[in-house]
Amino acid sequence: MSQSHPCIGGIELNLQIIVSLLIVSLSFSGCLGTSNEELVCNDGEDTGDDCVLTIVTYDIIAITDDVLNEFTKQTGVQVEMIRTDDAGGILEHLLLTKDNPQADLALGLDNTYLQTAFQFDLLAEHGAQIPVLDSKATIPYNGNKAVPFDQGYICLNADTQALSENNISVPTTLEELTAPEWNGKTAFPSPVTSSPGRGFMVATIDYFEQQSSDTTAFDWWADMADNDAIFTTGWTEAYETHYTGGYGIWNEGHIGDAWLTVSYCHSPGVEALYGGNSTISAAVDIDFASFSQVEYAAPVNGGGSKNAVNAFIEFLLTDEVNTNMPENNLMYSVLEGKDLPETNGYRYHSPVPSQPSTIEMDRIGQEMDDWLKDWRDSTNSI
Amino acid sequence: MSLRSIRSVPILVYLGLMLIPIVLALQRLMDVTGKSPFAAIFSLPDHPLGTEALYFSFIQALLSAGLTLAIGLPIAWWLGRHQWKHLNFIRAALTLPFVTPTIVAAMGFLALFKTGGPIESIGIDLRFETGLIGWLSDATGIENSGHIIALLLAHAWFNLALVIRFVEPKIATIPPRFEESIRLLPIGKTRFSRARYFWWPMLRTSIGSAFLFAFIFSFTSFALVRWLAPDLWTLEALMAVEGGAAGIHNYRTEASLLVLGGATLQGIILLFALGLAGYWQQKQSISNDIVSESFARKTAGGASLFARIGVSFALLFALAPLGSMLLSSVRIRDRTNESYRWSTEAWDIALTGDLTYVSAADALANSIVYAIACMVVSVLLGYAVASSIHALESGGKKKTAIMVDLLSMLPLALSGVMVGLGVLLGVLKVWPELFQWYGLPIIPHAMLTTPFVIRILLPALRSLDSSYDETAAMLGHSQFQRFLKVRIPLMKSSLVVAATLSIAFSLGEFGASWILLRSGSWDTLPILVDQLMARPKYFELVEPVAMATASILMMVTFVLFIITERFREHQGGGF
Amino acid sequence: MTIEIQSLTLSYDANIIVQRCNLTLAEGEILVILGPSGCGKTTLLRAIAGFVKPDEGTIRLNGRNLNQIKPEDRNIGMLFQRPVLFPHKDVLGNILFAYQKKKDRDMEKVNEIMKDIGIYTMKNQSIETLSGGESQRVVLARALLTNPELLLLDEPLSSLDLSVRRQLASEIRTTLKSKNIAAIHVTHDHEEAAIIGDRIIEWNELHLLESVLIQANTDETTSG
Repeated sequence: MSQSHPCIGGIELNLQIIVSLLIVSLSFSGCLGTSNEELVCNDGEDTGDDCVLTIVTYDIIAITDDVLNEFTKQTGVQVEMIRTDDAGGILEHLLLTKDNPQADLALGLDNTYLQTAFQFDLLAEHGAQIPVLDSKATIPYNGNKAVPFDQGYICLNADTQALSENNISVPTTLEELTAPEWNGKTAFPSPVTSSPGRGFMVATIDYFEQQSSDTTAFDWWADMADNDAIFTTGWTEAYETHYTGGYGIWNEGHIGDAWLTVSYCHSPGVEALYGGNSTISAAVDIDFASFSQVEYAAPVNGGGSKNAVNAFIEFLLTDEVNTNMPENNLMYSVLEGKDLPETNGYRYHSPVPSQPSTIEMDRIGQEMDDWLKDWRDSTNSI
Repeated sequence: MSLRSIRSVPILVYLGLMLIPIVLALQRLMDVTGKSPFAAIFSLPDHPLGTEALYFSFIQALLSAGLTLAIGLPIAWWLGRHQWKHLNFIRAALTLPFVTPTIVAAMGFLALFKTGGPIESIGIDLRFETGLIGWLSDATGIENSGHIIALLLAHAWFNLALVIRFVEPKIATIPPRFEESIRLLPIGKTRFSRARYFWWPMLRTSIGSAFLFAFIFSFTSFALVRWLAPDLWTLEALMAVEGGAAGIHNYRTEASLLVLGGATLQGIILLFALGLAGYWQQKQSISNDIVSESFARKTAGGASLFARIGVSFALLFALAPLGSMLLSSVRIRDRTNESYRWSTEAWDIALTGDLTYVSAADALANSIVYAIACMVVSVLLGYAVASSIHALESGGKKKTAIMVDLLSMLPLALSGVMVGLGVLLGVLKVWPELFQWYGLPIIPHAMLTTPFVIRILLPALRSLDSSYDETAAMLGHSQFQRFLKVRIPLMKSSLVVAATLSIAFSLGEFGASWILLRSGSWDTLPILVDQLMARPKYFELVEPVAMATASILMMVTFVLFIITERFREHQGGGF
Repeated sequence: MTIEIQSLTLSYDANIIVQRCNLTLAEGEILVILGPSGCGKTTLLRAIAGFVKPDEGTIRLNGRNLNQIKPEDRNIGMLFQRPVLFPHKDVLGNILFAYQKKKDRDMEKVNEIMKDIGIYTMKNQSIETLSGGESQRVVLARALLTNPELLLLDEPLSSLDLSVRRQLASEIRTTLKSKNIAAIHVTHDHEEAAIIGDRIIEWNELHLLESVLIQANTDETTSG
């Protein structure tokens, strides 16, 4: 219902890494080492605007009490968090408080939401110094109203064990999923309330536009609904409650009636990372049926604390913080030349899709409303 | 005359506090949707889940209330008819679920049903479509019937106290001579005819009230539905999820429409149920003479073996979810070798906040500040309103008194999510700067608790013999002195119950806080539990940390509850 | 003249209880009003105490017009039919309710009155342990400690046993006389009335013989 994003909290091990790295970097430079040689908020002189930074975000797990304290220690800026339940919640918060912005920085809008935020003029330009970023991260948007801080591919995940037990092959097309053997065995987070769900829906549109047939994505979604596909509000319900291939089987409320769901292509890698290099879940690589998601930090139009906003963006993109995204936030880093670590088969179980969806962000922004309506009409779901 | 105008001040403040946010929110939603609240009700079916949510809310609430009675009535009967050694302990243990924060209840039931949990280990798995549950699902054609059973059980668990508190004292105080004389009449020859012609007429208003309140609480269930039956929707849960997009111009107006229609319809249904409950309770208060409990109990004698077994099961039922939750916080699954280990790591992480923006300790501090502030506001305001109503009643202004009394009950028909949305949209309209105020959650919490405080204090004021006040006046004490030296001490137990109830309610409040959280940083313990549970749980400690956080919340609530129980006079029913 | 009631009209729930009643009491006089229960005697006393607003007429106490004065400022004592003792205080605590402030307490006087009235030995008892007669004694002691200008006795003895009733009636008379406190005592018991009162009026006379009463009072006024 809420959490539609599969990023995970800093585990103790990783926290130790991040904290020790921060401590090392601090002992060398005494500060961030970028443009901010001095405290952004100096208690002695400046107790003004920049001393409190308000961030609207969803529950991004990399950002813990400790990480925030580290930021405060480096910059003197106190951070207040407004936590919505998902990326859509961030957009809705910004829309609702448009005339009286409450936050200074929006953290966690992705490339399916960003264009809508632009349309409503919700974001402002930043003045942060940005390091060289991975080229994939800058494809959807390369302006200065939003800065990527993590990325990942959204795609189908399948329970290989259940498939082999039932003599079903791993699907190579989306059309296969409308066959009777998949009846009731697929779970999809809703694009209305979940960002992985939204990314995947965009991918299905591209997928069917690439086919020669007349079938549209929404015909397929209607067929899936007829084939008793399970629709959930958030990623958590689809992956944890319904999907049989993930950690969900051990969790409360697990139903375990779906062999296939929408998650990240690197989710099996995360399963392996925590499961001792072993997982029965596999990413399904179908051309155009995966979506390259980039998450952004963006200054709020009408928000204050400009220097603190810039300092926080720079903090997120420091090597110390961003290189650890795969372990602390279960997403790829956006820095150039960083891949997933090989620990416990993390990288091995995380294939990079050969041909992700190619729909551009402008079009997503323009057509999203119609797509969502069509999706609701064809699935009769939330 | 001046006194009369002073009297109306608290009533106006109260109604203002309750109604202004709601009216402003309605106005905004009407503005966004271009529809009136009543027209919006008829748009509910346009939402893909609107009709389903309405039906499900209704049916599960009816079933939950029925199950509550089915479990609660035998227990109330056994407890009320017999002498029990540790009666106060049994009563307290059975009332405990009612003050348990719903998120804690949800965690408790999840822990009870999970893989490797107590229920699964005795061979019942409510989560999968296997065995008995599979058969049930096939037979009824309802998917995941195990989830529905879990939800109904959780609702019955939560509402059990209503039956115990409403019906048990009634059974315990009916004079034995009534029953004795009916036995001698032809009409009372058999157990069945005695039940039909004697017990049912005697108990029906109490049973009816317990049923209605169980219905109301189940109808507006949010945290329990959210976690125990994630595929199913009550109106409350649907409004909570869609509420994020409500009140925004030119953006997903269907969400605003759903919230407007859903809130109106839910308000009407709750008002109707409350009106009926109020009517029954009033009828009950014009009741026959009662005898002291111990007298009636002595006549009926000690408990039979059957009764003992039944009550023992009830106690197990009341305490099991909480026990398994505690267990889940220290029993940790090793992901690498699929075994379990005992550890307090989860408690360490919860208290230090290694996984979250705030630590459980900080969230607890927030929760306590809000709870105390909520208590102060709701007790002061509630007392002022109750004493104004009482003054109107004793001043011969009966009609005005009834009017104000009814108005004061209106906010009881507001659910947590409705209040949360009301404050969110209302504050946005009149005073957006309030979003930066640390104390904002006090407003919805006080909105939700003050009506209950009035319900507790008003009967206490009514039963307060006016001759105490008059005597103190004849002894020369001013009104203020009489308030301090006579009223407060005489109402101490009711005041303590009201205060503790508002603290406990505020500590456990989930719906309104969950909505409001979208506009400010107000992390409370229940929200922290929810935040942790909503996370991906690849990491094996996430869920035990949630359980540990819920356990902290449970313990704080219990300490309060024990305090209240010490002050509670056992009166004839009610909260 | 302790109390002077002129043309007093009282109603309760739209029923007129007393109409244009006149009544006076001499200094230290004990007046007994005799009448059946429910006739409105209590309402009259409550009007004098200040709990009931008169429809018309005035009540004066030692020359002060009481109409606009709150009950607590009238300096009148009152004993109810059922003794009112505060359950959260013991006997002494109840008696000390006669004082509004701690510093005003005169413990010597308290002890003396308690001894006079025969409740000194009970001073630390919880009020639940007291008998009906004992409770009324405590209430009387407490009322006397406030030095009232007038004591209103609303059938305080009616719930007691006959023997206790008589004894307490004569004790009350002795005590009031020794302190020269005027009192209006309301009862339906003729014998009790005879023991306690200086003057006895039937309730019906108060009603029907209005002119006579006025006459009588006028006589008294002229003679006094």
